Parts: sequence; structure tokens; C-alpha cells
Amino acid sequence: MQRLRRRVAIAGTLVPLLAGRALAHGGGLRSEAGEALSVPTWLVLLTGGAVVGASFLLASLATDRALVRAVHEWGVAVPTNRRVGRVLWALGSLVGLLAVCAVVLSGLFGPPNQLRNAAILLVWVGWWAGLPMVAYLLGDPWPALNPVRTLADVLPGAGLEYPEALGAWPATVGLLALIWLEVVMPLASNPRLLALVVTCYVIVALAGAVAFGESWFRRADPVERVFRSYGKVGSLSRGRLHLPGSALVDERARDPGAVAFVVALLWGTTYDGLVGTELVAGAIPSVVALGVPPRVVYGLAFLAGFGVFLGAFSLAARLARRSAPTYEPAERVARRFAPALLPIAAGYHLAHYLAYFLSLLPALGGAALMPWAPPDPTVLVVPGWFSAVGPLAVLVGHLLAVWVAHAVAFDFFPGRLQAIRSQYPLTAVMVLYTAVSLWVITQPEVTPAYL
Amino acid sequence: MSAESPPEDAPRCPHCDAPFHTERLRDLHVGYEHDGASEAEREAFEAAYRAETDDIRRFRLKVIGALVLLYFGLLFVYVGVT
Repeated sequence: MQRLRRRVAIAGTLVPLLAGRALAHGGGLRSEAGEALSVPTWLVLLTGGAVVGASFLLASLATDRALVRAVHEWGVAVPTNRRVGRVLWALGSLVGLLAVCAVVLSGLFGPPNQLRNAAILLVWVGWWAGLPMVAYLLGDPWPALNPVRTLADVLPGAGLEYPEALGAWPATVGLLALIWLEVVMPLASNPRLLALVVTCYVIVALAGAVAFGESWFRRADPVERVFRSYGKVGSLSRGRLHLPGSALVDERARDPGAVAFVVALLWGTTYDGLVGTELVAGAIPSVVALGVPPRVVYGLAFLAGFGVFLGAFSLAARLARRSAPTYEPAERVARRFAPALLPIAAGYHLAHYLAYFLSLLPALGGAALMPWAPPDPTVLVVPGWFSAVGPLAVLVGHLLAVWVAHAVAFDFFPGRLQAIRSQYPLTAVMVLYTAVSLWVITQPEVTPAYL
Repeated sequence: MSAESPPEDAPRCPHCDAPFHTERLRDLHVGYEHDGASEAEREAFEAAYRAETDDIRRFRLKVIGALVLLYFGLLFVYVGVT
């Protein structure tokens, strides 16, 4: 992933630019804006944290239950037509099937150049960067596209009962494994390897789907669960167009392991950026010097970070019982408030991938239309002001999270002041996390050590 | 004040036996969650709601104070740094 981005930076200077106009436009804006104010990084982080803290204070002024409920229940019905829906679904299934065939075939036999290989562009630019944006800006598109679902529909099911105790744990472990693989393996530069991993995933998911039917997709499939979680942040659900994040207020992380899954999603996006910072890239070699293989170091750091994130959230849930105060079990509090973290993950994802997605969109288009003979890749150069989109997306994600948590608290606790006080620990965690993620996205990106 | 487990004499909801830290929270809970509340329980709910509204008014003043502090604090930091 990181390497694909590095290549893009180089290609951007070599490849004839179709984006000349966009570039000139951006350059024009920059010169109009005059001398930029130089603000030290710590002050950027402090300001980001302060914005989140202030938004919590502002939200706490909204103590009218009817008002809070009206905001998240507001929405307009989208006219739906069963026949159009079915045609769109069939079209989506077809696109999904064609895409997975294109990924496997061009992964195995396509050009090795990563900017011309349809497998790499479809998976990383289309599926990993682009589709989640559709999910959290609009609604979850994956059930219609998912080729595994299409295949499982035509296969006879075994009708096994999904083990209740497993809950969301297979999805959590699967997600952590996918992110770790993405970081330590050259999946963004080696199409053969990528095709192999995709094939393995399809086989495993198909086996699960045949064995457990819909329960597999609802609970155990990591990809399906990631897109559903992001889809809840979007503003289109159950045939209604509503404010972003409204669907999260009624959401509960009910399955065993569902809280861990939400935290894994959040940590995964952070980790992907964290390994590309100078601090981490510089620290890894000193650990490797002690005789630990690099991949193990990355794996251990990944698990340790996940533990820290999960620990911080559980601690916040336990402290919330004290600050509220309430005798509700900490676990129930955690389950109720975990979905409020999803807008943060979405905001961070957008900050991390929007420029990347837009710059590689023409290359993706070219390779997807002609996977056997892709044209010379064109890389768009995003204008300079685009660097403001990242911090803005992180902040907007946190603001949405603060509001969702506020609405959830008002739904959950009988006392209005109790609801506000229950948010102190979670808000503190969010302020800290804002600072961390702003730090990551403002760092210059370096190549992760050994990868 | 321990939040771990409710003491024996914690106020409890007469309908669902849920424990609460204060009688006010119990009364609010009964009013919101249980349709079959008695006349006395309705009155207790309204009294609790009014008392809470008074507390919220005081709380809002603190919030506005905190916002002002935060704003001017940051302003001074910016003036000092840039």
C-alpha cells in the first residue's frame, strides 16, 4: 500500500499529466492565498483536541430530549421500486462477479506494473479506498456487490447453526489478519500474491456461507461486517435519507466480540498510517536489531496497539459508570456506545485515502475497462489545498461521534445530567485520539522499515 | 461512592427492580420506562424532572464558562506562538 503510494508520487512527475488544469487551478489558489501561517504541530494537535472538547460542551447544551430525538429521527422516505431495486441488485452482483474474476485473472496473468495491473488497482483503489467511501457517505453497497454472496445464493446451503458464542470474533480476527497481511506482505506491488490472497478469502468465505447461510454474512464475514459498519455512518438506510450517523443511535454492538470489532476497525486504519511515520519506521529497526524478525515485530506491535485501543475504550466505559453514575454493567455501556466510534473510523479513512483514491481513479478506470491491455496510467495530481481535507475529515468524524454518543446517552440514561456526565471519559478518549490521528496524518510519509 | 455493585438499600424501581444511585434517577426512570406508573409515581417523576431542570440551568453556566476559558486560552496560546 505504502509502496503503491510512493510509486504514485514518482509517476506523478513522470507521466504526462491529464490533470494539468486541476494542478494549475490548485496552484492559482495557493498563490492567491498568500503566505501560509506556520503553526507548530503541537498547536495543531491541541486545537484539534480543543475543537472536539468544545463540541462536546456545545452538545451538552442540547438537553431537550425531544430535540435530540427529533434530530436523529429526521429523514425523508426515498421512493423505492421493487423492480428497479431487483435490477440494480442483479447488476451489482454481475459487477462484483466480473470484478473478482478480473482481479484473479489479471493478478495471475496481467502486467506486473502495479499502476497498470487491474488486480492491484481494483482491490486497493476501488475496493479498499473507494467502496468504504460510498458506504460511509451514502450507504452499504457491499451486499449487492459481494461475489461470495452471489455464488452462495446458487449453491445449496448446509443449513448449519452458527455457534452463538463465536459472535463477531471470527470477523474481528479476520479483519486484524487482513490488515496485518496488508502491511507486512507486498500485496500492493505483487499481483500474483494478491490474486492468491483474494482466492483464499473467497474460498474461506464461500465455505462459511455455504455452511451457515445468512448468519455468516451477518456476523462472521469480516468484509461484509466492515462495509455494514461503515454503511451505518452513511445517510441512506432502510429506504430513508437521514442525517449522517443517525442509524448509529439505534445500533447496538450486540454480538460477543462486536465491541472488539469496532475497535479493530478504528485501530486498523490508524495502524496503516502509523507504520508510515518516521517515528515508527525509525523505531522498528532497533527492535529488529534485538533479533526479532520484522514481520513478527509488526504483528506484535499491531496486536499491542489493538490491546491499548480496546483497553482505553473499556476503561472509558468503566469510568462512565462512575461519572454518570449508574449501576448498568460496564459491558452493556460499552456495547451501547461502541457504534459511536464508527464515524471516527470513517473520518480517518477519508483523511487517509481520499487524495490517493482520486489521484489513481483514471488508472483504475483504464485498467478496469481493458484489463488485458491497460493504457499508460494517468495519475491525477491533487491541488495543494487538498492537504486540508485530511484534518477536516478527522475533525468532522469526531464531531459526528460526539453527537451520536450524546444522542445514545440521552436514549440510554433516565437522567439528562447523568447522560451528559456519562460522556466525560469517552470524550477524553476522543480528544486524545483526535490528537493522535492528526499527528499521524500531518507526519511526512516514509517507507515503512523492511517492507 | 462505589459504582461497582449496588448496596442493599439502593433505591430500586418497583416495576423492574433496577437499582439507582439516587431516588431522583429512579423516579425519572419509572416515568420514562414504565407506562403503568401510578399517580404518585407520575408526581414524583415531575418533581424529579423539575429539580433536574434547575440543576441543568446551573450546569449550563459552567459549560459556558468552560467554553469561554477554552476559547481565550487557545487565543492566547496562538498569540504567544505565532
